[in-house]
Amino acid sequence: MNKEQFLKSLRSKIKTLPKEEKVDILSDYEEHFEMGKREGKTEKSIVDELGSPNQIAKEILVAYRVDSAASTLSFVAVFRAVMSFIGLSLFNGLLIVGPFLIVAILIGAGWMGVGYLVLSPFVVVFDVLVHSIPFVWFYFFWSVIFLGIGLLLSILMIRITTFILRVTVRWLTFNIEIIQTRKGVA
Amino acid sequence: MNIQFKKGVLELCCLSILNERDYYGYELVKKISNHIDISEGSTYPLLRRLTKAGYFTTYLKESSEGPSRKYYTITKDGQEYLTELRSEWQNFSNGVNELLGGSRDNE
Repeated sequence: MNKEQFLKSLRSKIKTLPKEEKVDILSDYEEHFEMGKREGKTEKSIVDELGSPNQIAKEILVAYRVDSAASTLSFVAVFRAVMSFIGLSLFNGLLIVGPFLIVAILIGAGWMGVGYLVLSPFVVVFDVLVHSIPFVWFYFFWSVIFLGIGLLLSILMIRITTFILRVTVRWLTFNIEIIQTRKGVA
Repeated sequence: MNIQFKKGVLELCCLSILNERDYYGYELVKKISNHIDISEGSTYPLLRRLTKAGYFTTYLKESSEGPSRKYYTITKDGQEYLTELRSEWQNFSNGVNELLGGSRDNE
């Protein structure tokens, strides 16, 4: 593998990063090749010492994604970070991330419950209008109660969700590893 | 060698090296790989991450031998973090050395 192939491979793997990041990262490696060549090294030996561009790209992606997740704390950002972590090391990733996915499913169920409660008055009205069920104040009264409970629970769910996202990001940050690849494996 | 080992150790080494003086990327990478067996390519993402975390800052400096180089400087936060890591490492390696030094007969 020569310099062009290395950079090309790296560039294609970090495509999804913002432009500034890509430019910055690639210029680091360009500089590295320049220095190496000045010392009289061949491109091939420089590439051997650098290691696999795929592996390096994975590490870069994980670092970037976890960093984004830490600053935005959005579910999508955290999810992406978790996925790129699995991509970096499948076994470690699943071990670390398995619990996260389980908790995510539970939280999903929690939100579904909230949605169900909040929507109940609308369901009653829908039933009356569409299915011509007689309007019963009793049912409507209870559905409004459920709406209220749902709204309260949604506040709780927001707290829980934010907390879990924060913990997950902290856990990922703690676990970012530099995974050694044996020298000479390109 | 344990991966978590290397991760912590690498951070410590980068911080310690940059605490002595500023280095440019290539110099730093070479210095580390002369002492530890690691794929050099992984060092740049690490330096990036530590810079983003505020432990280093970078600047470009003209070089007589060619294009300008990107130098890394350690920050105050970086020095504090270094002190933390260093004492963790001391405790850890002291503990390990004690265990390694024990003989079978438990003298």
